[in-house]
Amino acid sequence: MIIGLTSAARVNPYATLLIDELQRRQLPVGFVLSAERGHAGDVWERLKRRGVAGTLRALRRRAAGATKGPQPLVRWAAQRELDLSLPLVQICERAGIERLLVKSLSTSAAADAVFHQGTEVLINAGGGLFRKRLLKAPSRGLLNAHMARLPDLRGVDVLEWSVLLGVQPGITVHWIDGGVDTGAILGFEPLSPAPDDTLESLRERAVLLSATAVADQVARLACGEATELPGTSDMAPQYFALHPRLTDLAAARLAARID
Amino acid sequence: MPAFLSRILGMLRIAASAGHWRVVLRDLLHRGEPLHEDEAHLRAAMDWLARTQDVAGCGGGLSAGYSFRRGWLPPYPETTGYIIPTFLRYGEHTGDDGWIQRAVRAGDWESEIQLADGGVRGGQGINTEPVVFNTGQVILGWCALHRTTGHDKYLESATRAADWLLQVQDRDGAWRQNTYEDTPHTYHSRVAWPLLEVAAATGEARYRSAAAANLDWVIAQARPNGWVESMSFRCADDPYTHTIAYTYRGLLECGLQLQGDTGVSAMQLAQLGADRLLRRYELNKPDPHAEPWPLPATLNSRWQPSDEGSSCVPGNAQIALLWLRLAVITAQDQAASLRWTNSALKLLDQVKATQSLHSRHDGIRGGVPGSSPVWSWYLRLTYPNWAAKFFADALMETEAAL
Repeated sequence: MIIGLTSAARVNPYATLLIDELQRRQLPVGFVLSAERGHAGDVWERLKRRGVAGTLRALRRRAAGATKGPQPLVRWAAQRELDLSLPLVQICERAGIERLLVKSLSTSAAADAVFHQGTEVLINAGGGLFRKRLLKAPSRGLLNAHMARLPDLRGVDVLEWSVLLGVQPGITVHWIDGGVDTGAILGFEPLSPAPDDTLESLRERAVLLSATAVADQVARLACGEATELPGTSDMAPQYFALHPRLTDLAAARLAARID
Repeated sequence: MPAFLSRILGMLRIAASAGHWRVVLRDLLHRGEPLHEDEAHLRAAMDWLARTQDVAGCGGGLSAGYSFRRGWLPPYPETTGYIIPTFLRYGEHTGDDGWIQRAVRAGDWESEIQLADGGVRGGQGINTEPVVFNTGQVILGWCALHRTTGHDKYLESATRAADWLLQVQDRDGAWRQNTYEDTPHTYHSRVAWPLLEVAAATGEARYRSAAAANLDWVIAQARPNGWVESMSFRCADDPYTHTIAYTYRGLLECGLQLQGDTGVSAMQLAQLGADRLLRRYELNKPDPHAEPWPLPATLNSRWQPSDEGSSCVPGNAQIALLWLRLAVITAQDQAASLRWTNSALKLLDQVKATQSLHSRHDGIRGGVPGSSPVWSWYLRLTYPNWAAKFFADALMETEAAL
């Protein structure tokens, strides 16, 4: 099975974890389709999207919201002897994975590159919103790990939404189609918060679980054991980025649930 | 005074104040005002509203607002009426009886200037022609005062006004005479709502029937996508979010009070419209995690913006209030309720960013502009009292929603 990953970041801990998990299941990654921009490009993109004031606000929020808590990613990486701070280019070199550099994942060149590799499964390890031509390029499709149960919680910040609404957090592995989190569902892996979890550490745990859940589903696809449930329509409720006050409420509910 | 002289004088007034320049410069540089706790913004908005009552100098009426060109505007019967419930709620919120007294003075002034036929005078200042929409809004104030004080005189004024509304209503439930440009408007759902308040207070079924008839007419103007025709002031124009919010708020409040098919349809239409507004807002941003761009000032029947360059700030406050009302109403469905609240909080932050808490200028400090940027079409260079009113209402509703 020819497997590819998407990436849009110079350093991509999730892609590093995915490569490791897939290799442990004897499922080598054939290539990484990368639209990374480098340091200056990252800063420019952030400024373009959020403006100066928005970027500063986001940084302030992040600094204010950073609370001490467990660091599951650090622990996991230490156990596996992985360096999650390494640039993806070095990860690929070490693992012998081809890097296909493209200007943007939205270009037809990106879709052509995926198609010409004879890709069966492309895995979303970053890249934002995908164009239809890229979705059609791999023969089986583009796979995604969504940080909540689908079809119930479509959208963004859904891990925090799960905590806020008091529903089981977890990871849904699904195919990406033209809608927002509407594609066919391969499976759901529940995520249990640890007693000392904060929203930040829970998110790290969700990243780890995403990598294992996707790798498990790719393994099932490879041996023909995967099952699919229908997705949902684009008219089903969509959950949007949380306002900081509701993020605080979610954090309080997480703490209260644990206490 | 000749028109050109008045224009020159207006321009000199605009240019003469450093406070004006600061606001223009702020909007020119896209620098929002700093955000504070709700309570600070609420207090500033209410103090500004109190100022509009004090400067009007007519006993109880509130100045329509502050204009860079014209200074403090004349008292406005319509908005004075619907600011009464805001004063009453804030009085309850703070436990300060002074706000109740302000509401009483406003209600008494409205009764003093009520026309002999029961209607409420249209426009700013003391005019002679009654207007349907304005009459409905003042009824909301009188009914709220009647509930709070128990004084029958307010219900009598409200009943006289409601009787006049029934007299001028057409057989199909719409109002065509004594309306803006003598055309029917679906934002008159916000006139059906006060009729239901009078029906509840008096037990008279005819007010309820008149409200239901109007709602049936409004609902008949709806498209499958939730859009309602004739929401604008002028037939040829796309509506401002201000009047769009009027329409759906009227439908929502009527849906809560009316039994039967009409009530159910009104509620469904209000929810559908509110959801389309929410999607319009939340899906318009550079990336899914970014803050949405402000709602456009006007929308067309496909829920697309007709003017991307500006936002109608009172409309934004009203839409946030509509979503918060839905959050409170749907509280038993936590997911739905928090979705409404989430978007409302973001939209309210954008309104907060237009309110200066520290300006030295009495017309600006605590007020909320009509447009963002302040020189845009909707009430150019003006701080209308209804912007501060709906902003204050929304901040108080936030407390209930959370």
